[in-house]
Amino acid sequence: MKILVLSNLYPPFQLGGYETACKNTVEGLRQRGHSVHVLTSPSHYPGENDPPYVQRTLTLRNFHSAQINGHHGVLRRFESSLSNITNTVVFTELITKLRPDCIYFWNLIGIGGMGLLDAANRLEIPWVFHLMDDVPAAMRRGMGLPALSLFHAAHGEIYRQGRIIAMSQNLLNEIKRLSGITFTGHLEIIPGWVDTNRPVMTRSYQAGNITRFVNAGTMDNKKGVDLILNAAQRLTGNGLTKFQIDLYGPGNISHYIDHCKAVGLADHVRFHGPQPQQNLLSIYEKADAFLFPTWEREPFGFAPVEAASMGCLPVITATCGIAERLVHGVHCLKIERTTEGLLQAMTDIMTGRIDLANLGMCCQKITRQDLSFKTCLDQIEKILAGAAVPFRDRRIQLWKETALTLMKHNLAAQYFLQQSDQIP
Amino acid sequence: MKIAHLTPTIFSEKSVIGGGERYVYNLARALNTTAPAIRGEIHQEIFSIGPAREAFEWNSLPVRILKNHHPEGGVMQAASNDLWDALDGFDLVHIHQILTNFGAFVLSVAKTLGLPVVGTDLGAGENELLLEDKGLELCDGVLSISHYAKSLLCGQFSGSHEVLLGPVDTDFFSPDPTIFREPGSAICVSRILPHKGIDRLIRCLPEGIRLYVVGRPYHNDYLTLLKQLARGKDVVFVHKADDNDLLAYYRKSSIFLQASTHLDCYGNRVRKPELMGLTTLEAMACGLPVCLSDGGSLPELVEGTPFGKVFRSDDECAALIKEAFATKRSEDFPFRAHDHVRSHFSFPSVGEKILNFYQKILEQQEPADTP
Repeated sequence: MKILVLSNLYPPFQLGGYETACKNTVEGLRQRGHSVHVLTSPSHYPGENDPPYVQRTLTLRNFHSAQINGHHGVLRRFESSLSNITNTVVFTELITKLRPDCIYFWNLIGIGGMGLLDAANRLEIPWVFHLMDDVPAAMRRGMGLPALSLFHAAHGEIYRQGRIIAMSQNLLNEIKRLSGITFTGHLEIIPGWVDTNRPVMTRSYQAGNITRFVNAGTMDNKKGVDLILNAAQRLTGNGLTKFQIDLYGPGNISHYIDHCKAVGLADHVRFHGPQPQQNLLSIYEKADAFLFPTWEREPFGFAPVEAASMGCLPVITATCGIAERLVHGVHCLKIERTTEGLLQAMTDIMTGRIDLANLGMCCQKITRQDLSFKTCLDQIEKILAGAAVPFRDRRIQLWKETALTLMKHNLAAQYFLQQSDQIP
Repeated sequence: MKIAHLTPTIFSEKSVIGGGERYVYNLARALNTTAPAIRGEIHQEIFSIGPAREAFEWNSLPVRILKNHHPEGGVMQAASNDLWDALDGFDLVHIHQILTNFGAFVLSVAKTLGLPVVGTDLGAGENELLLEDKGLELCDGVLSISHYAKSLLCGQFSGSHEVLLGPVDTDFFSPDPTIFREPGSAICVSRILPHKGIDRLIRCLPEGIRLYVVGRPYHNDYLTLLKQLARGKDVVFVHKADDNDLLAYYRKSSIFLQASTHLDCYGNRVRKPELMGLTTLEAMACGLPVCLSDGGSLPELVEGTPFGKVFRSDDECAALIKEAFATKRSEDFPFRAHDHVRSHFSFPSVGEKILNFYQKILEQQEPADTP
């Protein structure tokens, strides 16, 4: 298959699992012999130069910290979510040159995603949209019905022509709750994954009678760092002090370090900042449990899967995305997302009420089966093959495509700016 | 052939009673009159956008009102998400009032759906997305309602561009020799708006001549001004006239006057004072001689015919009205005028030309995709 992948970001510039998963999938598909071309935005993160199949010519209107206010800020929001003339034209031109069998959309926030979907529909190129976040809801947020109507997106009709992959039912529920959109066409759920060739291993737990908890992700309240620290404080208050918590990832680390000092947790909690994925796997191998009291709207979570692959038992919010795939007491511990819920699970682990060796084995096994990259890539490949059709020869007049893009963009921008609440 | 007509306003009490609105119905009726004999049955539907979804028939023509999702902007800015599904199955979309935001919206949707589009400017709007930004070039064809209207778009559209004046229902609008024409009566049929130049007619109206001003008021200050000017003169305002009333006024009047102007009485420059002048053709079809200003397309309607004359100034207007009443005409004048309109601007005549134009547009489309 000849596949054109679109993603707002592409490593080395990445915010989390979405971008890593995109890159893994691209490389996996290429290894299977498919011709895959990536269209994305520039990366300013340290890293190797891109391979020739990665084209960074999209303009990104989000994810940079510089605050731009006033009309420019409002328009950036519009260009981020709804339509970006340059990006749509670049995309359209690339389609005519590359002649893909299928377009594979990833995160479209920041690059005018609605305009890109609209162009794919207009040119009748089959597409698959891989959702690892509430992108359809985010793209329409605050845009207003008139502007959305121009893209047939007032009620999500724009998605009828494509195939949707969502990483959890929880994510689909979230999108419906936030936007009212339900996908009525082809829809499949493919979970998060881990790519490991390593066989299931027998490993030791709680070496030196110390329980090692770990977490990797953004250091903020929604990911559950506050809950972890509160539970840790309660553990020490209950006289359970033989534990260590290692936290990996970016975020408001100084705030949390100060907090730990203030509440007497400095000897128990360490912040390490972001780590490469490969380093994290080694860390998980030596850790006993992965604390993941994330917010309930969490679409899935790659980190607990990766931890599970190394026998590091996931302790997860019972209603988040990954909870759909793991069985409590078999592959994980599911908790109510409260300090008490997390405290109970941590206490059970520390006091030996949980058979870590047994559960650790089970969670390793599932990551070699349902949650393995190979299994997921098989499914992705099948969906792409089901969607793909050879590029049909027809005369696409680029000037007309550009004129239509321009008119729709400008008309939508007018509608958007006419909404009184958009005027600063 | 399935044709969707899109118009921001419909000829209705609920919307606007004007020539532009009547034009859409006339066009559809002309096609229905002509098509069966030439190309077999065609299906036509008229769409507009309004406050609520609605469907009804007008003279056997299906009319569907789609829900407006942009009510803040007024009818000329209406937009509806429902349009996407409504256009499903049509072969061609004809957008009336193409130069409005409504026109830009419909054009965007239709072209995204890959449908052939014909656009017609009926006077409203000068949307810069369509003109300066070349959005109009996305149309597959433009049907202009006069050479004057075409001249305004020539620089903005390079594709198939046809000029068709009319159509007029010449079966309905016709002379009736049994009805007595009031010898000193003139008629002006027009929406009451400053650019229609009705104030000029009243100012120029000679003593002893009655003027019927038939039309709905859409500008209160202007109506007040007209009534002030009419004091001491024989001016009769008729704001509510249905088609039968209108026909009766045409039939009992002796001359028709139309004074549309590029510079209205408030000093405003008007770029498109009259793109066709449908009521002029209706009056001629009823056998009336016409006196027309040189505003917009009006001179085209009588050029090379003995059925009307054109004035360039108020002085000329006053003189021409006097001359029109002083001129002796043959008894068959009304029928010759009617025949002229029937030959050139009637439903069968115009319907065939429109049908041929649509066919040409459809034939220009890309052939089906090759596998």
